[in-house]
Parts: sequence; structure tokens; C-alpha cells
Amino acid sequence: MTVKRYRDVAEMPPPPPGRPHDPMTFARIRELWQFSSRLVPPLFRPGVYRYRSIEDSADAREHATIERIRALGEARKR
Amino acid sequence: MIGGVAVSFHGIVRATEDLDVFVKPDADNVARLRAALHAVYDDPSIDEITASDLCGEYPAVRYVPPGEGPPMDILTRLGERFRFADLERERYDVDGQPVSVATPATLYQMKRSTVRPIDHADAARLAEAFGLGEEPR
Repeated sequence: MTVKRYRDVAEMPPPPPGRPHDPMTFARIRELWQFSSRLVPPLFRPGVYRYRSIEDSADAREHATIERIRALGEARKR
Repeated sequence: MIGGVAVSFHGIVRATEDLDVFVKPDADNVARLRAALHAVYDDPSIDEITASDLCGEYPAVRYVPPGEGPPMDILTRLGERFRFADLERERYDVDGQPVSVATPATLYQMKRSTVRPIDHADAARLAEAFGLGEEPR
């Protein structure tokens, strides 16, 4: 792997696509989950949540995300 | 498996906070799902995942395990658009475990009809990567 330099971020090519069906993808995702769990609190407390539709589920996620952003902002101001 | 992890598995790697699974809505299968989760997590709340909910009024159940495990969104239908029988899926071996993953075409059909911007972005990338068009299912 070499270091490539660019004069502007717009010149940077997009990252190469991942290799389809690479079992390592799961390992990388697992690492990302573990890393992100150290960076930010989880959106939901452990447990089971029931929704009447995928839209209700998405709304709950969106609400929890906004709440987390607000709480993180408050906590980091202190 | 559907959702962002499935999209990533097809080579379009992106971050996601949860693991989405679409399960066959019958009592035996939901019992197998609970048994599989009990094998991973020591968590009595797993027993709150029931076939009566998933096959009835609550086709979307979120299970958040204790510890660092990812939240799981367990689905049995997506409105009237998708039912289990509509899913095209392929089976892969991952670390010796068989994993069923929705095909790119199925993921594209699912994602292009939702309201979330991230799904639209996924649909666009799937369409580009796999030459998927706008034809109806």
C-alpha cells in the first residue's frame, strides 16, 4: 500500500468496492460495531421492542438517533 | 439477512448499527430463532420474541441484546410489499456457518420503495453495481 497525495479532496477517487461475498466483511462489520459501541451509547436499552410496521420501527430509530445526538451534545459541552 | 449488512456482504460496504433479518412467519421458525439467540445471549427477554406478535400485529420486532452485540431488527413482512415468500436469497458459507442473504435484486426492490434516504442511496448503488433497472417485480 502506497501513500497517495491529492491537492483537493475532490480529486480523491472513491474507495474501491468491497469484494462481494467476502466472509471478512462480517468480521469488519463486527469490529466496527465494537468500535462504535465504545464511541457512543447504544440507541436502545437492551430488551425487545415491538412495532406494527417497519415505518414505525424506522420512526423509533430516528427519534432515538435525534435524542442521542442531543444528549451527546449536552454531555460534551460540560 | 437483509439490510445494511446484506448490502455490505454484496460488496457495497457501509456502516450500519444493526443486523436485519427477515424470518419465515411460523411458530416453529420463531422458536428456532429464539433458540439460536439463547445460544448466543444469556438473556431471558429473548422469550418475549413471539410468533403471535411476529405473525400478527407486530411484524417488526427489535431485539437489543445485553453487552456489545448488535441490535437485531426481526421482520416477517414489509407492509404489503414484501412477504417471506417474495424474497430471493442465496446461501453462503461464512466461517463454517450457512448464512442466507437476500440477493442484490431483492435488496434493491426493498430499498427503493422505502422512505429513508439511506435506503435510496443503497438502492442507487445496488442498481449501479448490479445493473438493476426500474422494472416492476
